[in-house]
Amino acid sequence: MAIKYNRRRFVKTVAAGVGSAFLLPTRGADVIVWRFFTNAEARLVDAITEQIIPADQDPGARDAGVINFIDKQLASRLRRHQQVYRVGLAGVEETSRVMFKEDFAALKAEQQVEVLKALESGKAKGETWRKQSSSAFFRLIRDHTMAGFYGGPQHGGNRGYASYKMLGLDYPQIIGQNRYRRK
Amino acid sequence: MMKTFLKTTLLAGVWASCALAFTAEPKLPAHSQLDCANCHDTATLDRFSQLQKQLGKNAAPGWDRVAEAMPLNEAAMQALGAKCADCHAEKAKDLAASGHALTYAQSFLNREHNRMEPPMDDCLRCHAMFFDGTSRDLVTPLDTRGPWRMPHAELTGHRSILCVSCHQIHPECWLSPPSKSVEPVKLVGGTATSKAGFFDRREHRFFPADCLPHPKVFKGGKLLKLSDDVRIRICYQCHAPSAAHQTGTSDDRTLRGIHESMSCLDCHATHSLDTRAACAQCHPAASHCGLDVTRMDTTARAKSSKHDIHNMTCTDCHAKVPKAR
Repeated sequence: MAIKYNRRRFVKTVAAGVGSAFLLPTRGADVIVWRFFTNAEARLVDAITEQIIPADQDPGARDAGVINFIDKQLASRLRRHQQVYRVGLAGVEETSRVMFKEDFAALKAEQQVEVLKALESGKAKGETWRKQSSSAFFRLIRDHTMAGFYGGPQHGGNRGYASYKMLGLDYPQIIGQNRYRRK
Repeated sequence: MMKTFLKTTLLAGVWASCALAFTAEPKLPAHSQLDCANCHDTATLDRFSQLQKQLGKNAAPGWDRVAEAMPLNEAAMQALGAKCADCHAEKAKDLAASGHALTYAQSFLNREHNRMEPPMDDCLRCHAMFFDGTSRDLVTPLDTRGPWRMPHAELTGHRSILCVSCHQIHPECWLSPPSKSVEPVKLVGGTATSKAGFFDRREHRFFPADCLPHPKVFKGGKLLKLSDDVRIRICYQCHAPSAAHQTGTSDDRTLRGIHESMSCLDCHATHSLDTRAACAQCHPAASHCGLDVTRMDTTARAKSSKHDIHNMTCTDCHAKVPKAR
């Protein structure tokens, strides 16, 4: 069925469109603030962790907010790893550009996996890896990804109890502590 | 003509957008109408203001960031409890008269309990969920021999269970996560306006009732039928069976017998926990068999109770089973 536009209808449509344009940008212009990461680093870590635990029928690292866990921990208990991350993330970008001439987050999934495999094997290309081991950095971020995905949500990850739900764990557990019988 | 057209277009557009924005707004909880200062002191509000400045004007801090900068502390929570009573006087009065109006002294210096099981940190999960220290700071010694005392006498009268133990004041939707680049924090199955639930001390966060696990309780190998009422999930967080989920273990109060599958709140009033009027809701005061249910000894608390309402079976009242026709 063809839609007929009269002048009134046209004005209404235009008005709604113009008006919406005034509101929409204000909703998307939020400042992204992390505790340790820069915005670019956060995007990179988010992409790396999502390749380590990708979403399938269950949530992946991105859904579980692993980036928030790593950021939170690097600003507190895992502060000692800050420099390793700063250098390592720059290295990942360097390797990505050497291999595919693009930033890691912009690569296709299979290309990202190739970069990560190169890191894991210790054969990643890039000047950065002369300063620190790419395989050691891969192991570190892999371990932190697992901790953020499977650990307690109070530490910043496992958002929405994603992994507990995947594993079928009830949370908070229903469990009394008394060891004696009430009756 | 052109100017009028543009003006009309602009005004109509803004109007249309506002109308859309307002109709899309989720239903806000009652407390959203209150000023922050109604409940929070100036120092807390100043800290919150600093946090917002630090994170940027447009970056609403998530719970995570708020909790880091402004961790909940017991003094603030106890004070908040008193504030609740300003508006909810009747409910506060009911709570004060209930079994949930325990003080720290009543909870931690209970000799009958402590002789069977030593006080431990996990007790705080239900009996001092906002306390800043550990069980050692509340009671000593941590053994079954006693005599037990509270090292900080000023804490003896503190309430074990506060309004905020079971009521969420700030729903999740009020504050967004640290980054808008990821999905907002949302407990799956939860609703933004949920308010009854359970504050989990270990997680330091509130779980709306519909996000808590529904209990499964067994009698031997038989799974008991429980009410579908999601509110019972709150009760089961504290009145919980032991690890094997067998009925009657630990502090389990699961209904067995003729009342199986009823909700805790079918009989217990929400704040007073009063059950006196409950029986007559379903049973005539003087039933056809001559029993006055309002006068029966049905308490579940006393071991001497002849008709423990939580375990009552048909033959408790009807000793003579009618013969089959």
